[in-house]
Amino acid sequence: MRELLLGYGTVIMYYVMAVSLIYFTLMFLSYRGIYSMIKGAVYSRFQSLSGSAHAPPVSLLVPAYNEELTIIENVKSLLTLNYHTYEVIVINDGSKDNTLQVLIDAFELKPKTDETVHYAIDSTKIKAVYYNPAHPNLYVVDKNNGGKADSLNAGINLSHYPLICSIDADSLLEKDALIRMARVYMENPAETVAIGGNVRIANGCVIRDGDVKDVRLPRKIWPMFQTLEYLKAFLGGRIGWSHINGLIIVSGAFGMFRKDYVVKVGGYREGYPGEDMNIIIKLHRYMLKNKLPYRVAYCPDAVCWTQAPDTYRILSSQRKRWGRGNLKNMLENRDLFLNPKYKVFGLLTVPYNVLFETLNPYFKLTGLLALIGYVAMDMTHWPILLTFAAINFLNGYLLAVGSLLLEELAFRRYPRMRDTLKMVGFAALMFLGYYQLGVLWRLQGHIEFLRKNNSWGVMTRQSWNQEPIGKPSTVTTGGEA
Amino acid sequence: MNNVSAVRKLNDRMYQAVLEKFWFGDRKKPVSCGILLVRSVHAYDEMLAAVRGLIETERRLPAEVLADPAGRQAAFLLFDSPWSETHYLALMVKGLLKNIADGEYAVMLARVKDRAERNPQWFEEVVELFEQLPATEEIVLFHERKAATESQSVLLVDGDEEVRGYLQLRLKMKGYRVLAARDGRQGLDLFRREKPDVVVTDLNLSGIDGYHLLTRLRGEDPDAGSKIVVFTDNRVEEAKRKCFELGVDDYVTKPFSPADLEARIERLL
Amino acid sequence: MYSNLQIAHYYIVAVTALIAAGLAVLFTLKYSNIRKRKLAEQVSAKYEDWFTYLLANLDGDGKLHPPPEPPSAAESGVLLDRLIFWIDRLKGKQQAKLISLCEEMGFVDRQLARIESPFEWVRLDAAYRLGGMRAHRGVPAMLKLLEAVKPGPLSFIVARAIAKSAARPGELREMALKLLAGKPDSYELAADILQESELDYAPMLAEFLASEDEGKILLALAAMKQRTIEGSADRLYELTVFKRKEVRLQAAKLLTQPGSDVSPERLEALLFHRDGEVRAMAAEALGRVDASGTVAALRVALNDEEWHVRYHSAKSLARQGEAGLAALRLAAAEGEDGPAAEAARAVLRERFGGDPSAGEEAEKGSESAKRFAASAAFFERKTELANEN
Repeated sequence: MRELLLGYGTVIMYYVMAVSLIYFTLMFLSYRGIYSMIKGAVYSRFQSLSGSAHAPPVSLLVPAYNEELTIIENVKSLLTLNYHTYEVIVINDGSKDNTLQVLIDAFELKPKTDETVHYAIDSTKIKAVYYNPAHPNLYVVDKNNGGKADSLNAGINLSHYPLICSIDADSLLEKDALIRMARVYMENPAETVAIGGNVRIANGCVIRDGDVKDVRLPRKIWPMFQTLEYLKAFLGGRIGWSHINGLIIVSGAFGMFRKDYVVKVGGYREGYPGEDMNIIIKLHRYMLKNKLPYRVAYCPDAVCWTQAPDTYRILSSQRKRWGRGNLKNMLENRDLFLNPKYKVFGLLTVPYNVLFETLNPYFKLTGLLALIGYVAMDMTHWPILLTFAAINFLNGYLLAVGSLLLEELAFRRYPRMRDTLKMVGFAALMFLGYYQLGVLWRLQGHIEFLRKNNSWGVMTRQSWNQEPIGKPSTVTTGGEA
Repeated sequence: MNNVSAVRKLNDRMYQAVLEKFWFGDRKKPVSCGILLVRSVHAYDEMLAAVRGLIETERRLPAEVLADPAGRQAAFLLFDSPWSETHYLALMVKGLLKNIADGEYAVMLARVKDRAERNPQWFEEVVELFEQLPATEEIVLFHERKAATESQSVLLVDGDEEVRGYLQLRLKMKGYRVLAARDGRQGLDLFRREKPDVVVTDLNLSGIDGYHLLTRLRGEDPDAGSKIVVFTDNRVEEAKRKCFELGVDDYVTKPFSPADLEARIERLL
Repeated sequence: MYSNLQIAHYYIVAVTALIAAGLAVLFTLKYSNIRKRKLAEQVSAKYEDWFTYLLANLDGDGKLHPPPEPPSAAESGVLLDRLIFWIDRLKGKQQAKLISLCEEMGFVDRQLARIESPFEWVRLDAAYRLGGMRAHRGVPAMLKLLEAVKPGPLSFIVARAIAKSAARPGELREMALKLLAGKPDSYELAADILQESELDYAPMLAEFLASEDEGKILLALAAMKQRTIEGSADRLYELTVFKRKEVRLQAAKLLTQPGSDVSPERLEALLFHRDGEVRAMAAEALGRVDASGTVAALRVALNDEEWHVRYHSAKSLARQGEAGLAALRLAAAEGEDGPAAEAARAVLRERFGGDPSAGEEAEKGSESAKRFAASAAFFERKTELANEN
């Protein structure tokens, strides 16, 4: 019995080491690609490209549900992006508050009668389209409630341009975010089906007029942990995966897609969280099945700022939702698992995701319990527990340091030395409870899934930002970071 | 009392010198005259000698030197040399002064053109302004400081600080009264308050989006008393068309030729 | 079991070492970045007056002089960046003065030396700066670099630098061919890059258009969005039956855009093209045409299998005056619930349903169009005048 426990515990230790090893091999193999990606961003002249007729026109889709407090500021900010031809389509998803009226009043919108919508994707019927020629790029769509995915689909049906960009109602895009994404698209337009942007945490930053004027780290603890998490996930994770074309998710808060392919795969999946990962999986599947050359790219310099939840309740609700979505996506797509027909995606991405993300809680937890049991039976071997903890910690910490290094090499958003010190410190602190909570939340999410719980959970939307620091949270809707 | 008469004397002397050389000199055409005013509280004599040296040997420019030891200042009138040379000379003088004058110095540049400055009052203004100048590191350009009163006004709305600064400089040199705004909201405020003759605006602004600003401007001013020039990176035909539909008078794209932009502004006035 | 634990321990040691190294590099990098930033600020402040001198005197006849005290190597980098900033923003004589200033200050020479470096990132940086300075002398070295880098984001950086600096159309051509050889169909980007050049590359585009090579044709078609090539209408029409679909679509787009001088007969022929997108574009373009066979052709197209073709045909019929509207009403009434009727009804609804000021909108549109045309003519004359100066 003891041997079994020990054996199992050892296996789990190897599991943890394997995660790192695969991960670092990935990063190492793709460092050239990362280098190109970064240099491309540094040396491009976005000012002049943003005015060029050769950059493709884009439709921004903003689903909105009960956003009356913040929607005006967000739309105003979206209307002032540095891009020559784009439209902002706000989809009012049957809000129970005054979202629609607030928009109509602020922008003096009138119903637009000469717009015929072609339902390329099945979605709830659009009740009305509102428009004002003084704001020629803004369209507001009113429809009955159908969820975020349904709203996106409705927006796609209305959109007039070949590229669409899904945006959260509380995403604050940087002024050149769109042109940076467009540059990535223009470098390979035939093959690029989707491009993911970089989502950063805005808590603690000074925001004025819809622009982040001064980048600072959050004061509160929960957003601080999330800042590091997002840095690791985006800079550490997605850059590497995108280079080998194994990116499994493009954040719903900021992602660009080719409309024609989204329509071909049937649009967003409705009715359940995780639709942002789901659409990417569908796209991979479609392109691989039809043997079309493609790439799902990532643009790390196109930045979208978002407010992170700063209370336990909202944060845990968000993570449980993500856990549910993730599990559902993996289960629905289990035929991709280790399926050579799906190349890198099937052989590497999906297994990695299943084994090291979805099932992570189970492995780690059981491994830990096994070793505890083992040690409980024979206290002389307690160093093994320490070793297990050390391996877990060092693994995660190495990844964090790597991400911080990449941040400093290429992006340098946090200019002060004390910012780096704080981040290095917190990256270690995260192991004293935050990660464990993450595991717990994921488990809870799975349990909810199994119980067929399908609510969107707790959400409160509060006004964006009049003070720069410590403002209450808003929740980012959507899938995993 | 002494100082006041010294001031008087300096600008009178300047006026005389300019009159002689500039307007009633041998030449048929008026020649340009750049005025360099230098004050150095310490090391006055070294300064004088050094600047004389610079003018005569380094740059080889014909000049008239009017010294005013009482006020620790001197006026150097440079005739018949391009304005850029005067300006460059000022740079060299500043470099010099940094070494010898211990921080207590001031440099000012002014330019005599053949139109309005035929009166002694202008020189008085110049010297008075110079007197009031605190000891400062930067070279002060007279036309920048002088507030244009009658002339036409231009409102610049552009988020790019450098370009805004440059256009301000140029337009002031040309004699316009320039108002600058860094975003749409500020632009609208200034427009309401000052009612400028020409508005030069970017489309890509923070706060209010460009098209909306154009609509509001036209709304405030339906008779088109102010002319609007759109000055933007956006080179797409659609955008140009939309702007004209909203009532603008001209559309200039970046990268731009400053002379072209000025010509277009002038033609609208 | 012991060996497992040993492995674990080795692993721990290795990872800790990596972490330590990573942190060391991180803090060194951070520190050096902070210092660089401070230096840049200092340099900017120190040379502020000189920049004022430059900007204030860009117009005059005098030459622009470098600063009285020559800047150090570190300072030069900062100054060069700022000069390139202005060269990028300006055009014409003012830009030329700044360019010759850069040459005089030795910046071009220094970058030419750097572009021979064994490190690729140095070469890239040098190429970028040479492009910023529009340095003709650097073009051969940049072309070599374009050959050497892997096709991808890096090649576009070098290509753009070449486009900015090229002094002869042959150099542009070489750059374009190298880009095309690099494979991804990034024609729009390539066309945008070509636009950076001041040279007249219309002959090169005409040559590309007439060739049989897909890549060249697509590049020419993309570039033609911003500039028309004389006498290309025939070739464009030929290309609408090219073997590759992308070529057909792009050629059709150019033929059907407002202002193109394609004959109504050709548009009507395109209305029955094999590609749905082309048919839709032709249908949309026919709305601007007033020829005898148009209404009849559009009426037939109302029964097309693609929704977009039907919709645009209906919209164009609505612009054909009474004859067109009559045809629409007929289709709406007779077609029952068929696709043609649905499209006709949708357009009729847009036109007349619920918005009595529909007529006014059209009026306003034509008014602004007139103003636009008048201003355009005015400015064309002005540019002519300006060019004469």
